[in-house]
Order: sequence, then structure tokens, then C-alpha cells
Amino acid sequence: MRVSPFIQILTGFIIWSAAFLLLYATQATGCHLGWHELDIGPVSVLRLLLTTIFVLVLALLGGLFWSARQVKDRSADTSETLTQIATTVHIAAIVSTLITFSGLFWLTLC
Amino acid sequence: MFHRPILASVAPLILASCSGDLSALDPAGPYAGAIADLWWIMLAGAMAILTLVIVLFGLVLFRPDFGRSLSAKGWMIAGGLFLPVPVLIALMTYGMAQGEYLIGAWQNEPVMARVEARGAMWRWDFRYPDIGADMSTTETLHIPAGGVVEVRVTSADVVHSFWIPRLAGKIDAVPGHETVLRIKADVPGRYAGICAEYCGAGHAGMRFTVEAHAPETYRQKLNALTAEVPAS
Ligand SMILES: [Cu+2]
Repeated sequence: MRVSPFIQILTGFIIWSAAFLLLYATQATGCHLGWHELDIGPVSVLRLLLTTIFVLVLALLGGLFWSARQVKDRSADTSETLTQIATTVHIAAIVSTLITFSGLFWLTLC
Repeated sequence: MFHRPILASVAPLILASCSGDLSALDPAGPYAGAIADLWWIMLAGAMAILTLVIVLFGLVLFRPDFGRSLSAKGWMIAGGLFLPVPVLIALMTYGMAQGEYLIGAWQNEPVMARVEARGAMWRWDFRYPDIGADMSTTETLHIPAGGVVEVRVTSADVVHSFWIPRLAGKIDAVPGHETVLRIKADVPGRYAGICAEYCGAGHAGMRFTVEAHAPETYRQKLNALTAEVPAS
């Protein structure tokens, strides 16, 4: 499947912001419903849920990065450059995800 | 508070402008102190970065050769990634750790008193479940000094924000929801409080006073105070 490099450039951080909203909404809902007080083993249900979302988002971004690297359109120079930018943006989105959402592993949730 | 001796000797004039009833830079307890420390750390960091940039700028002007050993791309990576990213990560981690301390997650200091604060357009009502279910005051919050006071904050109408700059950070007062804030005044005295979230025409006047009493007389003061008000 051929995706426009422009869309590839945008997707990384759109996914990051969607993940931000999703994590925030899950955290608030979980706190309201008391999921932070239900434990599964050493962690609460809420933390487990947030961690799952975190891992899924990382996997999604990783997959996109991988697929962006596969697509190499050698026919046009601009497209080549844009694909390169897209992969770099994906790396930035992955690093941002790791840094900005890492608090969910150790901060008090509610 | 490591900054006090340095600043008091270096810039008494600057310090003088930082005091006042609503000054977060004039902390009167450990929670406000932690926030003021963060502020000073950020100021020092900002000054260090500004100095570095000015020195680099001066070098570019007066010694155009000095930066040649690093390529243009190298400078971009050094200045755009290696400088800001560690600084931002360190600040974020420190800020989050301080947040944990402020909400009481990392301390086992006992809570000395529990009070409730309710914002309404445009005043603050306080209740004292520790002392009596029907005990309440308006516009003045009474707390014991020298101990942790847990404030349960809520709102009767719109979102307000409960803030006593010299005692703690601010916390939102949300209708239908309770948020919890810890405050502590080291010594008895009067401290000013204010609504810190714009909430309508009367927002600017939505102030209150905190009276911190010696712990021995706290209960007595409150009882005397409510006895003065004739029962309706
Ligand atoms: Cu208000």
C-alpha cells in the first residue's frame, strides 16, 4: 500500500496526541470508578490498563516506523526526502511517548 | 531553603519585592517551600542557559573560528537535542517527584486536622468535620499551625481554584468532585488565600484569609468563634 509521505509525517504525533487523550480519559474514568483500588497481583487494575495502552501505542508507532522504512519510492527525490523525514518524525514520536507517558508507571494515579 | 543566604546578601532589593500576602516566593510552610525551591531552581537554570547562549554569541562575534571544529549539523544536534532534552527530562522528573511529595504520597507525617473548603460564586465556605458536623465559617479558614492540614476542596457551581500562595500550591475546586490538598503553616499567623481560576465577574474579589492558631488553642478558638454567631 502506498501512503503519501505527508500523511506519514503527520501520523506519528497524531497517534501520540490520541494516546495522550486516551490515557488521560482512562485515568480520570478509572479514578472515578475506583479501579485504582482493585489489585491484580502487585499493581492496580488502572495501572495495568494504562500500561497496556502504553505498550499498544508503542507497538503501533513501532510498526508505522517499520513500514515507513520499507516504503522507498526511488522515482522522485522529494518523495525520498519526505519519507526520510517521516521516519525521523516517527522516532521522535516514539521517544516522546516513552518520555511523556512514563509517569504512569510510578506516579500516584488518583 | 538554600537560596536564602545567597540571595539575601546579593540582592536584598530584589528579595524585598518578593514578599507580600500572596507571594509564593515567601513560603510559610514546607509545601509552599518546595514550590518556591522549584521556582529558584528554574530561575538558576534559566540564568545558566542564558549565560551559555550569550557566551556562545560573544564567541561567534569576536572569535569566528572557535566553532569550526563542530559541523553545522553537529551544532544543531548539540544545541537542539543534547542541551534541552536532558534539562527538560531532569526538570520533569523533579517536578513530578515534588508533586508526589505535595499530595502526601511520600510522607508519613500525620494529618493534624481535616477541613473542607467549598468555592461558590464568589466566596469560600469552610467546614470542620473534625470538630463538629455543623461547624462552619465563611471567608476565614481556621487551621492549627505546625502540622499537616488536609483540605478537601469542592465547588457549588463552576470550577474555582483554591490557593494559599504562602502555604501550598493551588488545586481546582470542581463541582460534584472532591480534590484533596495538603497545607502546612510552620507558625501561627494570618495568610491570604485567593481563587486562582477565573470564574466570573466576582473572581478578583474571591479572596479569603487563613488563620493559623497554636495547636493547643485551635479547637478552643473555633468553638468560641462559632458560639459568637447567634444560631439562626
Ligand atoms: Cu472562583
